[in-house]
Amino acid sequence: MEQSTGGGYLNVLASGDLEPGQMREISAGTHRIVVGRLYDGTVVAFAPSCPHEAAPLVQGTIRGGSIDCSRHHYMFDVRTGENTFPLPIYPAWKRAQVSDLRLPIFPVIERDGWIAVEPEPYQGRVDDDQENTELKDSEQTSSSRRD
Amino acid sequence: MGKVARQVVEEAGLNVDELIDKLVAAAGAEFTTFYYYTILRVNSIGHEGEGMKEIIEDARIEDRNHFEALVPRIYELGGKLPDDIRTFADRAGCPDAYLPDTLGGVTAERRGSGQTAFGAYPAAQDTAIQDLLTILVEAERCAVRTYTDICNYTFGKDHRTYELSLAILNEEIEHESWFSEFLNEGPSGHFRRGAPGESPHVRRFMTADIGKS
Repeated sequence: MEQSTGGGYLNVLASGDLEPGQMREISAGTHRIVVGRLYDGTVVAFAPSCPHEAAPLVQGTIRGGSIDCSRHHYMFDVRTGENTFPLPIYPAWKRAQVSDLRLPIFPVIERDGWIAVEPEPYQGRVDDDQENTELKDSEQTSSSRRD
Repeated sequence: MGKVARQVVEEAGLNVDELIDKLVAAAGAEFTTFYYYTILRVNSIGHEGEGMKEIIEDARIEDRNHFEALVPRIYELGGKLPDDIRTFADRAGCPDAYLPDTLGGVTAERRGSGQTAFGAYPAAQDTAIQDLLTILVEAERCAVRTYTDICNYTFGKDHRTYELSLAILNEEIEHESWFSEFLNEGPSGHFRRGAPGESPHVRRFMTADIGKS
């Protein structure tokens, strides 16, 4: 189900349809998006393909605040999109080869029994990540998040 | 290939081709880890490094054992190893465990670069052993995630693969603990192996080695 809630957000799942540790791949606008719930209850939304080799992330596993891709076990922070493994332990020469390993993250809120996503990803900048966190804290929409 | 061995797994509801992909990826990770741990081991030098060398060797040989134990199961299920080792390495289920910058990762020989740096490695810095241990512990954590995934996938459906994966998982968890304890992440609950690469959990699956002392 996809229903506009205003502010660009679309209702995509009933809150009760997503247990902690679960993920669902849904359509929103022109995007395919994976919506997941962390074990602390936080709802997250991110692109469906691993930035490494495009494996379907919905077949991965939520571990803490990260998604663990099932194919090569690359891990991404699902709040910021940053690669948390293996980029931080790679030597500089290898990091330079794979510096574009960033998972697109989508704005997502949960309210009135619904999970709603904005079908355009953050641009992956630091200030976007900050806004992402602030959004989750306040559950407020903003028309100026994206350039 | 074990015809009935594959049939019973299929009839239990598993996608055997997907399972084979997971096993080949796991075997690839073990094989490449054996290679990279060889490099990490020879660079484990100095007062602290020499103390770690034996434990790296244990993990290195046991990872090779895991490869040996996985291969028969891949063929029993109707799978095969890739004909080209480069394909095999690229399908490895965990990232490569490269030598860290502080131990020559910046100036060392690069694949395809045609450059060598004999005698040009930077002097080991204070953080080198810490970096080395971080590479090792993260590699083991990837292995723990890998075999947890295979155990979850096969539980109650493919008893032989499950038991093999569980045996490997037991050793990978011990490896993680070894390196984690070297990093002072918590008290030690383990004791050393009786012999390098003893594989107390996986040894019974290495049936080709039966009869060796």
